[in-house]
Amino acid sequence: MTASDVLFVVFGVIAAGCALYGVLTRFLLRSIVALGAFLTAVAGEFYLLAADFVAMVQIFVYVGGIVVLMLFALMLSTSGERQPLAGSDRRGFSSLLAYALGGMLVWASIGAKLPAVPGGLPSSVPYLGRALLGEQLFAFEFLGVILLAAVVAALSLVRSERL
Amino acid sequence: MTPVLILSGILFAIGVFGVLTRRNAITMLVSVEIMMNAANLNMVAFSRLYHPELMTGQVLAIFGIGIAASEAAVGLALILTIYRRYGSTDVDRADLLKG
Repeated sequence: MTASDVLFVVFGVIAAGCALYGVLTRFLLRSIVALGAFLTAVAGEFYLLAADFVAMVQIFVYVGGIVVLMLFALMLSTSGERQPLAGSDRRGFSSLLAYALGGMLVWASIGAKLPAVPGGLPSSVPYLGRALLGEQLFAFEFLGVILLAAVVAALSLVRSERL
Repeated sequence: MTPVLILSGILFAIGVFGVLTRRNAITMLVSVEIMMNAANLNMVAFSRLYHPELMTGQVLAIFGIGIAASEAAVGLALILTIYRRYGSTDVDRADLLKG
């Protein structure tokens, strides 16, 4: 068992634990902070899979952008009071469904018998830069158009009627 | 490879559980982000396994992160609109179109 295997398990346990806590806790603020910790742990997993640039983008965009945006939405909408969970009947059915889905996914991943991920950590940045500004340029530019449309849509949604 | 797939399967199931059980719109958005991250983890892992020099999976993961950012912006704007109209971010209260 190498160091990267140990780190993989550590980041995986942190990610799963934070995701579970963020979904189960009754406090909205704790849920959002747990999401931030979860996203950081997943960024660590990305780094271990030789995707260092994706890991940095994950921290910048998710932890620095989306989590802060959610904190602002929390600040503007509710106070930190306890949030009620759904009714018990719906909760039982949902946990059954989630168990079934998770079990199916885990069973399929074990049954697929894929080869192990190759080790070593070459930097992916030069390849990624060439891909983003070469072969995958359309996806890159299209992402900019989508973000612009989303910003205009968000602004027009929250615009106050008095303006 | 199998541990990555198992982890992302567990994370996706946690996200599904959150979307189904929570009634608060912000917590539902948190659960959706967990599910999107599980999918991104799979994309990066498969990109590492097959043709790591082409970077298709990593580009797709970056695309997914951008989509998640725009989704969060529009979703939080919707949540603020719902809060202004109903005085709460409980999605069960927004039932204007319910038959």
